[in-house]
Amino acid sequence: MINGVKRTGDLEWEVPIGFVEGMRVPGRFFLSDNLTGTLEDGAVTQLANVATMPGIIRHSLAMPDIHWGYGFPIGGVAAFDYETGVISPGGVGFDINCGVRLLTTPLTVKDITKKKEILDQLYDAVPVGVGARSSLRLSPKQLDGMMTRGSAWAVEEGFGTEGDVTHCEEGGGMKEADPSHVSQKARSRGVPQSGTLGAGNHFLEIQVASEICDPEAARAFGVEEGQVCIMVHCGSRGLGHQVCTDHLQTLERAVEKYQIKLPDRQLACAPLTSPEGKAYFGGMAASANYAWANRQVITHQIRNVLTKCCGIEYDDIRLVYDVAHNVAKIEEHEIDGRLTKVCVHRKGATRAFGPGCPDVPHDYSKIGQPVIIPGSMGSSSYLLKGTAEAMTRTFGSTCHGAGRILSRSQAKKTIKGSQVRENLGREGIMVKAPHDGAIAEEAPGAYKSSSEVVSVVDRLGISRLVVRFEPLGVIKG
Amino acid sequence: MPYEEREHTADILMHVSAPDVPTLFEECGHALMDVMYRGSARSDCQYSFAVTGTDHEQLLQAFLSELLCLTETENVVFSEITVTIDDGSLTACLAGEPFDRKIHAGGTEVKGISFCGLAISRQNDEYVLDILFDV
Repeated sequence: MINGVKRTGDLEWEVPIGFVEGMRVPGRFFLSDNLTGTLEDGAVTQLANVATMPGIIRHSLAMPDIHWGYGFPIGGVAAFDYETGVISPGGVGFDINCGVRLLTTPLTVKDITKKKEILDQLYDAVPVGVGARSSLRLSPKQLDGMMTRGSAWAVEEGFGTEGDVTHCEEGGGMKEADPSHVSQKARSRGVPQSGTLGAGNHFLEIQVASEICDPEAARAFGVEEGQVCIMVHCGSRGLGHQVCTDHLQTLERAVEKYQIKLPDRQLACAPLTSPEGKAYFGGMAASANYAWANRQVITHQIRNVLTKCCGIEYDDIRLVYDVAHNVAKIEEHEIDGRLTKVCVHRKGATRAFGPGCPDVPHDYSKIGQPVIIPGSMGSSSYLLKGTAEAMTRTFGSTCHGAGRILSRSQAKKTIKGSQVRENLGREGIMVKAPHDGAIAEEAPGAYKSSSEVVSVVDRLGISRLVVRFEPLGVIKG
Repeated sequence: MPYEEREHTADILMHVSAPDVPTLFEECGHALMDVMYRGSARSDCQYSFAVTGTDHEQLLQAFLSELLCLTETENVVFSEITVTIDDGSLTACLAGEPFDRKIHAGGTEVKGISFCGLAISRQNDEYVLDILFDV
């Protein structure tokens, strides 16, 4: 283990105050012995850097998929007191509300007789990769609707069903969204990319529910063993990227204005109650809503393809849930026995609210929030449920995915995309991507084991396993 | 080679060097285009823009962010980049050709230009920096 880091439990490690200058609270991260070898010095330093930020409460946290990012580490979670704390784009990332949604179908594997045809049609219907353009021609008013109302806007425009809205985190739209803090540049990037998947680790995957670990929760979430499901991973596209860029520049100046001392410029921030902090939050929430609407439009495209190719009805394809894993939210958490208004930053981390939380959809209230954890290409993905334990230990948060262990350049040097495609093909997993490099970068060997990461959060009790999924076909962005 | 990729787990870290600051910025621009696109690009269309910054690092981040925005909104792959810097303000003149999937596809989407670890220094008569592209 890295020098200076202390073990405080079976799966729990502490980065003490003093690890970097100016820490206000300790850092805490969760890793099994099997994963400690994957931990980078850079990620721990970033975790400690977050602990220097004003108003941080209890700990700077990181989930077991922790790895080296920019600003916060990926897998990072931090809560800031609303009155004395700050908000930072470095705790959200450029891809605001990058997230995942899970759809169920009434199909089983034996019904998927034309997998190649389905993947080809999905690939044509959902634009992917660098330079991909949407077939939608959004008016300025429609873009405003997308940013203000998120999923609800998309459903009203005919891109889904009423049930889709309630089965999204935040009901698919943050009420604090303020499009007046979204620049013309960001809008120009958002219009041609609505309904596109993007590139990098974004994907659309056909999966099968291969193991039910918690029958009661799986039943409540509407998932059965052997059922064919669809998982979609993407975010707020160029619009969100530009909102982050624009506000990062403003917040750089705010750091000086409010005399905030930071060890990393990417942690640029402003008090939550300041005009700069409120402006970023409003623009960020508008971008988050764009992302929910974007995933809703993609859902519509998927439904159209599956109804055509598989002879099922549009309404037969049901949204289980949609989670954000790059976002900052105003929430209430119990701090020292008192319900306190805080801003929780989750960067590469998923909300995991437990049973009875008012923010969990009514039909899932007894179970807890569905938590969707995608695996790397060709590996298992998981559906979990939020827990009361997460509310007390991690501000209602858990991991978001597998977490990289190889850089993209290392992956491309050591792994051949064509070989990965062939190997997965032999296992019955079909892959479509704009180029083989995209496959090599995202190959299973470039990531930690998703099973090990999920096992850590399950053992900690900050979310609990419900269903394991195996991939049948993958579209890589 | 004026730029090369260094190891970074999640994103793309570029090490860039040049004999002077404007050339350093131009090489960073070429590095960005190299990450995003494949193949060569003609210089059919011309663009220019100006940005400001309180120090060289802020100026560079603003320049690359603007370049990223322009390549995406105009759908143009830039092959020629000329930078002039005058007292905290930067002017960029660019030439390129429209993105053509058959020629330029195969690169990686860049989401943003990070300040993380960004510091321009002088080593052996060269200006050098590491810059992180979020992908």
